[in-house]
Amino acid sequence: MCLIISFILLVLSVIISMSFIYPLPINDARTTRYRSLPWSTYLLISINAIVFLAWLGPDLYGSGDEPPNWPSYVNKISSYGYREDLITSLSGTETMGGIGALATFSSMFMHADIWHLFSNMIFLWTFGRRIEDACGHSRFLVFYIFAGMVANVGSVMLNPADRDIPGIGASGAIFGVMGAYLLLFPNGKIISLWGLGAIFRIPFAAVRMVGDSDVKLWRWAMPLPAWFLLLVYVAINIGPSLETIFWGDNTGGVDTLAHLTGFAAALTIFFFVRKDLLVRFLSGRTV
Amino acid sequence: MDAQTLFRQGVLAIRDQKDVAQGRKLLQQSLRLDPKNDMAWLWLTRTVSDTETRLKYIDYALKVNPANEHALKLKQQLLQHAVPAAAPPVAAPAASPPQPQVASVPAVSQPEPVAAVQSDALTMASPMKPSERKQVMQLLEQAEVYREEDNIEAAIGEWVSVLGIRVDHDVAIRNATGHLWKMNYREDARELIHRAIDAGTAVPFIYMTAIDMAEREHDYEVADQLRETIPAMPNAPEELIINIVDQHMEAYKMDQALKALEAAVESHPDSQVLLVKLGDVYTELQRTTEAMSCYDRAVRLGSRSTFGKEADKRLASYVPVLTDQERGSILLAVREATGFGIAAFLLGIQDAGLDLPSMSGLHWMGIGLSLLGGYFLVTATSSPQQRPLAGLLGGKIPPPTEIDPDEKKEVENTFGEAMAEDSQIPILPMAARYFLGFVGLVMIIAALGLVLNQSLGLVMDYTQPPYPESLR
Repeated sequence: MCLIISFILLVLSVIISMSFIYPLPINDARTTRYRSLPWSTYLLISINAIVFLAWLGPDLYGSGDEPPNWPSYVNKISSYGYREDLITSLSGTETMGGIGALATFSSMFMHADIWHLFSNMIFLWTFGRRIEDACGHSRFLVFYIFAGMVANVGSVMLNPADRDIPGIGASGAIFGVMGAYLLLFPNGKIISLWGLGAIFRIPFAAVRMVGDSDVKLWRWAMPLPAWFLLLVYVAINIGPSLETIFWGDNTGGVDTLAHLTGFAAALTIFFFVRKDLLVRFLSGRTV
Repeated sequence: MDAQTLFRQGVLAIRDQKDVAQGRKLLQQSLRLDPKNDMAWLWLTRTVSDTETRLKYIDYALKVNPANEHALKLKQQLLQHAVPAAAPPVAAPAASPPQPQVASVPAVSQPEPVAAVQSDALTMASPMKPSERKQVMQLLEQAEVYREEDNIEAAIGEWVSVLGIRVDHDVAIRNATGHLWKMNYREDARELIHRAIDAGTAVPFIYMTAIDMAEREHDYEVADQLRETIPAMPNAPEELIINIVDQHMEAYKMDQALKALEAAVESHPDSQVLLVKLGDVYTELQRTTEAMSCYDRAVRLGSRSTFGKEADKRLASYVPVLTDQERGSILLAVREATGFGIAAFLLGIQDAGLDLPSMSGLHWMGIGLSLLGGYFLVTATSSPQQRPLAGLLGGKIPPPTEIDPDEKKEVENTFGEAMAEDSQIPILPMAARYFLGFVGLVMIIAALGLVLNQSLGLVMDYTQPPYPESLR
């Protein structure tokens, strides 16, 4: 019991710290147009979760009485993560082993730790359903994979440094989905947790409370315009990405360049959206 | 909630809770569902204070049930307490000076002035000659002088002369009918109005006055006839039609509102405002498919106009409509196949070590195959009605889909596709679709094998890659 309570408290504290400075999107406030079950989004979330919980997680955190198995974890990351050295070796006469270009698929379903998985999946949940709705299930899957590939390729090709650090995570693909959201639904509303926003809101809420007693002074979750939220996330990534492009980066951590290139992959969304929606978009109508 | 429950709650709200506003709201909801509840109409009279509206509600009740004793009694009471002289119609000129009471008006000779209007007089739709314009100006000025002198009869004579030149001159007809009505020469006023209508006027005021006159005399049949006739007239202004529809809707005559709008849309096929209104009426009647079709038609007439945007906004809450133009487009199908092609290219270039010149013939062949396979797969699944391909391969026009409106929502949930308009273009036979789908799938799998040939070789002959420096 004590363990469960501590875990819940830990999750809450992480969510609060994650959403204090930058807004953390948790849901799409608008309904989807086709009202179909977003099974591709569910499928992607499930695969990511299973890959981590059943394959990487036990090595990282241990399972039952088993202690963490670091060598196995590192081995998996090195073999199935997206590595510049392994990929570029495919153009030469001697390859370095591994699974070659197939790592572009495997890497986007691997996560470094539970929080990496959690934050990525919450973004996928928020933005994925509406894009899936706009594309249809199978085309959405192809687009997601495609955006992930663009992110992988972009992060290697635009980084002038020789960076042999395995790239893992779904964030490149998810940034592609977010970019598509910005293109298709800039006026959408995203329910987000945002501590700083909640503080800024207090004076306005206080004034509104005079005329309407239902207004709450403190609201952690608030609907934010999609364009604002998405541009905030692009802005966060621009500086470090430019630094990487001009000066190179061979350190680990968050691959902001992969995020941005994944975001740019959103421009290809028009190959994947439903035909009626494309026609509507091109004629300047609401999609 | 059903109409009866709403009615009962409305009555309780008015009678027991003394909440007239809530009671009115509930009764209105009840009448929207069942406009033939005469008691609901009667209870509605308790929610308004002006006699005119109360009489109107009583008349609706009596129309439903002419034997309703309460209604007859209430009507009698109201008529007894009402001002004997009818109030001026809505058409009365707002700026006109206060008019003398009927009793103080000197008797005017019977409809002589009206007789001056020629039956073949032109409407304002035909341009006026400069001489006519001058004459009209002089007559109007003279009428104004007479009115200031309080010589209303003479003023009416001048206005009627103007109507002899243009049967629907806005200022002249407004003043003439307004004063004639107040002076109780209602027949004359009515005649002026109907001559303008017979001449095919496009002045909304005239039609509205005719309806208003008929209603004031509780001649609802004539009013309804006018409301029915006007929307079908090609020159009837949109705002007038909307006004008529609103009147129907206010009286919960949804069927008539719908009839009027359907006629109006037929006579004004390019009117966005009418299409949007028709969509709104369908929405009110929960006829979603028709509503969407109207909004869609409106938005296709132009998405940047005010009503185009309105239609688009409304349409955004529904499932989009897939049209034959979109279904039949080869370009749209090729676009989807291109998605497969660029994904294959990206895989190919990775398989070639992110080096374009290192891409082999197999890679390029794989990309080509993915494009072709993608096109086959798209043709079999999302674009089986491409023109002329579907027809050439023996496709037939699909039978219209018969979906119960009640099941419509269920269908939307189940299929998750754009709501389909019945198609008028051929669709590929099922066998051809299965064949193309199978071939397409095989080609895409083969294409993947080609663009990833080096990587698949590595997997077949797997060796552990060296650890990166950073993780050693």
